[in-house]
Amino acid sequence: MSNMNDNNPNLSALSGKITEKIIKRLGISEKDIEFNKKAKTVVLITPDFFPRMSNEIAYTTNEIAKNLAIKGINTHLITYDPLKQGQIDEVAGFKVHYVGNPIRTYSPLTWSLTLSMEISRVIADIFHEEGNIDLIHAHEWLTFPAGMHLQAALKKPLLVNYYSIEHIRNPGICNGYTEAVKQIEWMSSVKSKKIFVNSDFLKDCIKKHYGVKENKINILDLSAEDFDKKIVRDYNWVVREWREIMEK
Amino acid sequence: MVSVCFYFQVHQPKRLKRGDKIKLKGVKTLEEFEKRVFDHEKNKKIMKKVAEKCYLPTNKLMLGLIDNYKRQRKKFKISYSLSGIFIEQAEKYMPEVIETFQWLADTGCVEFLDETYYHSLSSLWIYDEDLKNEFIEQIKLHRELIWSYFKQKPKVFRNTELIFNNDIAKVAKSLGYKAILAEGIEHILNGKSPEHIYHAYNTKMPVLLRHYRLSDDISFRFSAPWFEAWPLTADKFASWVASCQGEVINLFMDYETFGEHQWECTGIFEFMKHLPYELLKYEHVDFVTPTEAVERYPVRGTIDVPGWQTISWADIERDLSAWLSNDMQRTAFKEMEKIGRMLKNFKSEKKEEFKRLWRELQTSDHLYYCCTKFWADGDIHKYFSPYNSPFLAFEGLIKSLDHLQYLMLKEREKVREEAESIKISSAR
Amino acid sequence: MEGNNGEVKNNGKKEGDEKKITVLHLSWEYPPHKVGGLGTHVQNLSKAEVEANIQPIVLTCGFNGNCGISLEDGVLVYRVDADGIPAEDFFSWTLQMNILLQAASAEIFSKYKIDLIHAHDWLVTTTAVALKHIYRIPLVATIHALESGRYGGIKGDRQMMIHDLEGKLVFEAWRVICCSNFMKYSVVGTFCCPEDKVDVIPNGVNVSDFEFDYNRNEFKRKYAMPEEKIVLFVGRHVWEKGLDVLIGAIPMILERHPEAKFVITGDGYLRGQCESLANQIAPQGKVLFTGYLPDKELKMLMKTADVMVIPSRYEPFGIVALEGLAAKTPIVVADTGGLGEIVRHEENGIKIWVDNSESLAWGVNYILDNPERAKQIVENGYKEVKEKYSWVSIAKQTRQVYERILAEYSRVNWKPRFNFWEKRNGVSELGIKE
Repeated sequence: MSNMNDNNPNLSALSGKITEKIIKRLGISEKDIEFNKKAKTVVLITPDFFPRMSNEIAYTTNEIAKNLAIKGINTHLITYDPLKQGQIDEVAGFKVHYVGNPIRTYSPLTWSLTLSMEISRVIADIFHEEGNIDLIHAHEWLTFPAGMHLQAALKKPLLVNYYSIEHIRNPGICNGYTEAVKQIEWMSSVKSKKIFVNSDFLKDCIKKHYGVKENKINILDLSAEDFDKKIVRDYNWVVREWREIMEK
Repeated sequence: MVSVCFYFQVHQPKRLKRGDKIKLKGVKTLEEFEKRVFDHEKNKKIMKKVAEKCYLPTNKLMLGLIDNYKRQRKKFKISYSLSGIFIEQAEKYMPEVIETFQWLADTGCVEFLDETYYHSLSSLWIYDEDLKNEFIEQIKLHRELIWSYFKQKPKVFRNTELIFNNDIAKVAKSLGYKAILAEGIEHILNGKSPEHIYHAYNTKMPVLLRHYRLSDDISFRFSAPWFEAWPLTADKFASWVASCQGEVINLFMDYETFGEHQWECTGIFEFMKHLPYELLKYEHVDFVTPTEAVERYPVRGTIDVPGWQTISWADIERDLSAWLSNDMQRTAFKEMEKIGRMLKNFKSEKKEEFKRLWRELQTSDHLYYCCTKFWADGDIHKYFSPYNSPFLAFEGLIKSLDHLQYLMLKEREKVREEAESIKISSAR
Repeated sequence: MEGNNGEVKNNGKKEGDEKKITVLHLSWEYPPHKVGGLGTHVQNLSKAEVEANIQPIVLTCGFNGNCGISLEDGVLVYRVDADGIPAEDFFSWTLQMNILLQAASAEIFSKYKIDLIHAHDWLVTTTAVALKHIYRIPLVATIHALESGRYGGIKGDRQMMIHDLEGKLVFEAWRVICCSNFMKYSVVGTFCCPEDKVDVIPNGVNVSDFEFDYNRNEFKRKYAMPEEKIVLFVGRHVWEKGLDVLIGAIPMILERHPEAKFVITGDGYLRGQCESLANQIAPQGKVLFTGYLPDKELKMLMKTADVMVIPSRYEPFGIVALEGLAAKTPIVVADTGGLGEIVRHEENGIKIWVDNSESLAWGVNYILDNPERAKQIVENGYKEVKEKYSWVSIAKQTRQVYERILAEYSRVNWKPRFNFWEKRNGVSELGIKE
């Protein structure tokens, strides 16, 4: 999974001739440094973002978005804020789109399923205006329905991020609501291309309850030194795998 | 002998714009960043207003009082501490205020204290490997500032909002200060009286404890009709002070009490005008500055404030909860630490600029405005806050911190690129 | 969409000029799974559209293992497996069912080039709106009934959610189709929708379904004595259908026509109440509650009946009135909603006041008193239903709506950036059976 460009000198600073020489000497084929093997436009969907922060989702997505923006990746973040709906803020290099839910609902489940309409609209608009999205990163089960639909429709890979699962939130309770949420979480764990979690404990829980394979789950360590390199590396890996699947 | 030690705190933060009014799209330079993040018009307006209502008239009053008693046996003495950003803003918008303070310094009866230049919470970082020097650097900056303006070398230290614990006292001692100020609350005194001087635990650093009951009588309860002793007159207050059994009565308060928090129509200026006369009527009462208090009176015991029980003079709890009680504040504080760590190994010609902006964002008021407490404390926070809600304040703060990090990382990338291109071109 | 004498205008185009339009119908019920009239409506409409040079693809739910792709009379039907969706109540079940529809829709869009999306009622709103924005193709919505009309108003948070979903669908649709002027003005008034956004296309009935031979007398003996006159009620036993109005009118009718026999089909939450009321009011053996009857049986009963009564309080359209006209049975309808527009008093039926048992009794007595007059009315009604309410004519009107939308769509800038269907081996041949 190593990104070869990490070891190469910064190609954009050199003139064309030197680039060719280096390419010949190192034996890299043009296909490998094709820029469409990298993630260039990324969309994050989060139910919570600053200044609304009820748990670590806002902080984690902020960190991810900042690190991506520094690397030059065009990052869009879609979040729910009824007071600011329709606005687009640009801070620290990434854009934040605010979305509201016009349907008056009565539970988080119905809220998330109706919000997926608005999220799809915003992401589809980004897709049609910018021309491309490389991947979609959805956080917490409230945004998974939208993510799954967009993956199937736009044919772009979906990455999901779990902060907790229903078995931990409501252990032992088995009614229509919890079963519905568990089904959403399970469907996304199957359909997504990669799963991120914040701790080993949650990784074990997901493996146990949803039967996910070991190599599908990565642990996001925000305090790591090279967190930004790792996340970009993971993204590029997903994009590359997806392209291979699509081109078959 | 009962000595009254007056201390006034003068501070104006460099306020940020309201969260949703900060638009940082496409901001790539530091000048643009500074223009868009700080609310210069509001700061100017507030500085002018407070100067008209409080600083200029009160300074005039104090000068008059000092002059009155200068030739007498018992002189009227007071002490101040001016934060660095207050002096910067006053210089920019109302230089007359600085002039009046300089006149006060010239009288010889006024002492200036030291604090952190940016009125920040950097004293909480003394346990951190990377950031422990930040506190000392800010104090040193303030020391130079006071010397350059008022030609005084402060001997007493007071931390931002009187945040105090044993380790802070130790740091202050190592910098050569003779005393440190703190809040005289019951749970650190354990039955002892705040009217004496104590040593901080494990350091021989004298601590002057604020007499909060009498200080708040002037600064909070002066014009409250529900106060039993309302209306508070100078003789009444003087009789309370005179009947105290202790040695030093420390009356520490915000300077804006005179004119801004307690308006002129409540009679606060008249009160202050007559207070020295009423107090000096008693034979055993006189005025001291903090240095004189420490030199005159012996140390009567020890107080122990461990790091995990840090105290301050804010809110009912008198601890750090005014700045670090909710998730928003803690996140913002974490971001500040992050920038500090990034700056440690930052190599660029713009390092000082970045450092200055980081420090201006460290002012404790920014966190204070994000507090979501209820009841009386919440009302006080709301009164001071220039924004409608703590969430807007937090939004502005976190956006500024994020964008500053972004600019720093961009700068670092640029520097790295330049270095590599130089390396490659020299290798050719 | 109608001409002066019920003919559909063709805008001067010739047959060969017409382009084939591919429409994706989104509906949660489709025969053989039926709950209300929605499924039958979608089936009839899509079958008729095939003849109007439209290729309909229907995306719907399948139950009891009935899922997959099938070609039924030229209509491509995709059924998703809707068994075993966990949910706390029907409303969240609906929203979750939409997730499955969304997943299947991606497959459809990658195989076929869809020109329009046609959504039926609030249950498929989430899918319809998301698809509209993702693929940037126009959305047509058919509103069959409004939540604010069902059960007499919005009385809870679940109903509020349905109301908002309907509003969202009306807002996002390019054009809205309603079955009657009553529905049109309901939609316009409830959601502040512009009047010129709504088209009125009535529902239809297959008259040929009622043209069959059977032994009337033998059949009648199942429900009534040979000399008795059957007064028939067809509908769900709910507040909107006004069954209690009929029960209240029974004594007044029996007073004048003791030979009347009341046959009440269907079921619902008011059945028990109405049964006990009828037992108290009417003599033994004059009121028969049959429960649900199979289709064929019901049609035979309609043809056998002497009068058919539709005393609804709230009726967006009232297909049952058309069925009565097609069965050549005199109908007595309440002057409400769509019924008031279908029936013109004493021309093709009898209209009575809403919620008024005396008026209903008068209407039934009028029909039973004047058999020749009734016959004339029935003839008029039958002619009209054959011309105006045939599904072929309705499909043609629907096609006109589609063409108008596509003409407007071709002039705007809101187009998809890519052709989603071109990436996958071009257009697939229809007639796939899996």
